[in-house]
Amino acid sequence: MKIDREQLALLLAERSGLDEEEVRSQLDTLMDRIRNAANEGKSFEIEEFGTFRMEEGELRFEPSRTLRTELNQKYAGMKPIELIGAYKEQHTEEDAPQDEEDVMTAGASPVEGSPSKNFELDTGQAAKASSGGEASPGDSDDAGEDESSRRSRIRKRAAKARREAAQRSGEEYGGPEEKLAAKKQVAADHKPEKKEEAGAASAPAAGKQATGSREKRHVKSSREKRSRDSLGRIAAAMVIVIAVAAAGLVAWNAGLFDSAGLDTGESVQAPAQPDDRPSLAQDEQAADTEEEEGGTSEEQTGNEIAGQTEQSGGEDVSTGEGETPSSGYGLEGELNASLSSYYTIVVHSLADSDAAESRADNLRQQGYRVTVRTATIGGTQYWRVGLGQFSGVSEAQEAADGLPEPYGSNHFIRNIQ
Amino acid sequence: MDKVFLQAFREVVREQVLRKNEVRLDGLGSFRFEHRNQFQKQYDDGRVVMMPPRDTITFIPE
Repeated sequence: MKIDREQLALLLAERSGLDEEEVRSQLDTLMDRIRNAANEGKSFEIEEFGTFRMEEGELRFEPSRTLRTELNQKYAGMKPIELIGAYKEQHTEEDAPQDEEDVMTAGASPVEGSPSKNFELDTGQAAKASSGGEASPGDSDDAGEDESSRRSRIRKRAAKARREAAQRSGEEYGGPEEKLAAKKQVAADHKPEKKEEAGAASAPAAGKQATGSREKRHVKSSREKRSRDSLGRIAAAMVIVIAVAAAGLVAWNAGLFDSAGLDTGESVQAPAQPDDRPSLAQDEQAADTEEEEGGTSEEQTGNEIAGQTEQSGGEDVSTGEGETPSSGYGLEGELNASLSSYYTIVVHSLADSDAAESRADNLRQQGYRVTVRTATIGGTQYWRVGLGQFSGVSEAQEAADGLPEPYGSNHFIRNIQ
Repeated sequence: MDKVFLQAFREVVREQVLRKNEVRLDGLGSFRFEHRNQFQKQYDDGRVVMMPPRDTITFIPE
């Protein structure tokens, strides 16, 4: 829709609260001023709106920053995004003049040195490069040679640019296609270099220059390698740091530092909670392996456990009985349902309730006080088989240390409320 | 020109342009809404960036 002068005047009157006559005259004044300023070659600025100025016989308008921001609400805050894969090398000009010299001298010096050889070589090159059109001797031959050298120069420059781009983008950012392309280019590069070498063989001076430039190239590439090495060193250091951190975490989860934590008493409750998940995963694995071992070995270990508990049972019972009458806590005996909050040593955590129950029964027969609780972790329900009821973490830990293997080393302590 | 008028002029032109309307100033030209698509741009150092799209105002002189 077009807003003409009439509509604009109406809208302005509505917005400003002035009457239409006033608005019209104001609008005329504004336009006259813009026109006058333009005719005098001055710029006319409306604050927070923009600037009108005369350029090349035309009135131009440059919106102010405020107006631009207000109009660009939809894309506010969008900034240029770097496209890493699309890295292109532009600056080949620094190297290009050297190449030019190389090619020119390589092409020019044989003319002075050995004309007959040069003639044969050049006709060969010209035939290759310019499809044999100017294979006749003399001036036209020189022209053909010039053209071929120019072509090879252009080709070489393009190939070099591509090669350098591939070195940076292809290897650092690692696109497989780019690498392939880089390889192809390198293969293609050998052809012009061979030509160059043919020229260099006939002109040793030019050959020296060419090798000189090649050495420069080597220096450049080694510099690039060095910068890449430092990057690699940083990466290696980071990997080592991460590995150390991971090892520390694993050690912490495995309970190496638990004894240190226990001294603090009550505050242990907090670290005991995050302990839960990782050790549970270990327990799950342990449970799986137990199942894989099969029934017979389980029976054996069961017997062993029974024997060990008989041996260590005496001590445990004595300490346990010392506690039991006063508090109702303990590792063995019947489950005390009257306790509202206690700690238990979780020794099995299984996704199969039957397996959990059978293990719980097995442990009950061995005289343990067994609790079976459910817990939902990551959407899967687990049945946790716990041993004993304890008033605190330190008591539970003490009792857990006295448990026979595999429970002695593979358990976690859980607060139940 | 008083401030009230200029303020109204700014607001009216901006609003009409945002609504994709063309605002004509007879004898001078017209304001139009213009959308610029995103485009790729290469800096002098070789980095390639995607410039974001933007909405802007253009003035077409008569």
